[in-house]
This record gives sequence, structure tokens and C-alpha cells, in this order.
Amino acid sequence: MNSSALESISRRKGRSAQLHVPGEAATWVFIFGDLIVFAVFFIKYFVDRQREASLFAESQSSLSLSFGAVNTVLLLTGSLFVALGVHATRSGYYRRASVLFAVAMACAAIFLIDKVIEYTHKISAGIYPSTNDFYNFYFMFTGFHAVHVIIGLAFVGRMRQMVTRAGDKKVDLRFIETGASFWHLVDLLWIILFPVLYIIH
Amino acid sequence: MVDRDARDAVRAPASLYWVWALLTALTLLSWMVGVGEGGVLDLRVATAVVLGVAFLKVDLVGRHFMELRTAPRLLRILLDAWVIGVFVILMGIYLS
Repeated sequence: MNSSALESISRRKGRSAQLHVPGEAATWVFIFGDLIVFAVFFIKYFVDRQREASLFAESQSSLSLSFGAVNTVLLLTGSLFVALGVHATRSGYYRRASVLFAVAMACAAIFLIDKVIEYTHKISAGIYPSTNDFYNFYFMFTGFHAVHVIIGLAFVGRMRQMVTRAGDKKVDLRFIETGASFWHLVDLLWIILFPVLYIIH
Repeated sequence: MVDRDARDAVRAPASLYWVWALLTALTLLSWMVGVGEGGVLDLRVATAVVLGVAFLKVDLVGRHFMELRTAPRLLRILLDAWVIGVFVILMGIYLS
């Protein structure tokens, strides 16, 4: 067993003094920045909800919890496959990583299709972002989040391309981890968005 | 190419699958509370549970999927601070 493998093992068990930052450090500045932005959104939503509680509750009841829950599981599954893909990449199993990333991309694509279906349902029922304060939040939050999903999908697409084309050369693991971290952020944000928008009343 | 021993040594941890299963189960639980329209639980308790579970899920994603367990402690601390801080603030507003 060579030294880099040992290093990897002790790093995984957290025993090494040199802990590992997944991806570029700058990505984490962005991740926490995004978390703060969404925290402010959530707080504003809760404050406005208090003022118009019954309006919010009534509008919220038109949302499909099933769509929301399925979308949550889709992103969670995407995260699983991205995490597995990162491990496969580290181990040199590039072809496996390519397939794993492809599955994650499929999860993202289905999420986006679901989103389009949801929005279409709303709009054909005459519900727009301007309809009331709740729907304004709903469209803006989920729309802003959907943009994140699209970016995440592009990231994983690039990651898949890298491992597919690597051949015998080593891939840029830092980039792979950066993309993976962004993906998990997208998952993470929806994990909060779903109960806040769809369930809590 | 990486040699066989090194490859086997850096296999994906089985915990990833368990964490995914737990996250999915927690999602199903939240959905059930959501469609149950309160049911047995007092509304405020149901909200605390659903929101608390959501932040717990964020923590799990951070620790296991984002590999924060093996990252510098600062990252874990910052995420935990966000999780706890936002949960407390939101519940505070909700209960006010």
C-alpha cells in the first residue's frame, strides 16, 4: 500500500493534521455567501407570513406536496451519485465515475422537468408571481433555486466530460470536488425550501 | 493510473448509502406530517419537527456528502452555526 493511499485513509478518518478542503477554497466563500442570502430570504418569508398568515396558508394549499417531496428525493439521489462519482474519480475508476455523474445529471433534469410542469399548472390556473405575496415568494424562491439547479447540472456535465475524456491521464480532482460541493449546496437549499414553502403553515 | 491496492483503499464509504436512505426516510416523514394536516401533533410542534428535521438533513448532507467530516473544522463550525442560527431565528419568528 503506497503512502498516498495511507494518507487518504488517515485523512478520511480525520487523523491527519492536514485536513482536506473539498474543492477550491473560494467555492466555500461562495457557498456560505449563498447560504446567508437564502437565510435572509427565509427570514423575510417568515416575517411576511406572520402578517398574512391565512392568505399564505390558503395559497400554500394549492401547492403539490408530492411534487415537492419527489423533487427533494431527486436532488438527494443526485447528491448520492455525485458523492459516489467523486470517490470513484479519486480511486481512478473514471468510467464508473462517468456513469455515476450521468445518473446525477438525470436526477437534475427530471427535477427541472417537474418544475416546468408545476409552473405550467399554476400559470394555467391563472396564478402568477404577481397574484399575491405568497406566490411571489413561491415563484421567486423556486425560480432562483432552479437557476442554481441548471448551473449544478452544467457543473456535473463538465465533470462527466472530464472523466470520460481523461483516458490514462489524471483529472483535475480539485475541479471535480468544487463542482460536487456546488451540487450539494443546491440540494441543501431545496431541503429547506421544500418544508418552508410547501409544508409549514 | 492508480494501483489496485490504492484504489481499493479509497472506496466510497458504505455510510453514503445509509445517509441517503435516512435522508429519504426523513423526507417521507416530513411529507406525511405535511399531508396529515396536523393530525395528532399540535401545529406548532409539527412545524418545529418539520423544520428541525430539514436542518438536520442539511447537517447530514454537509457532514457526509460534502465531506466536511474530513475538512478543516472551521467549515463544519460555520455550517453548524448557520443550521442552528437560522432554525432558531425562523422558529422564533413563527412562534412570535
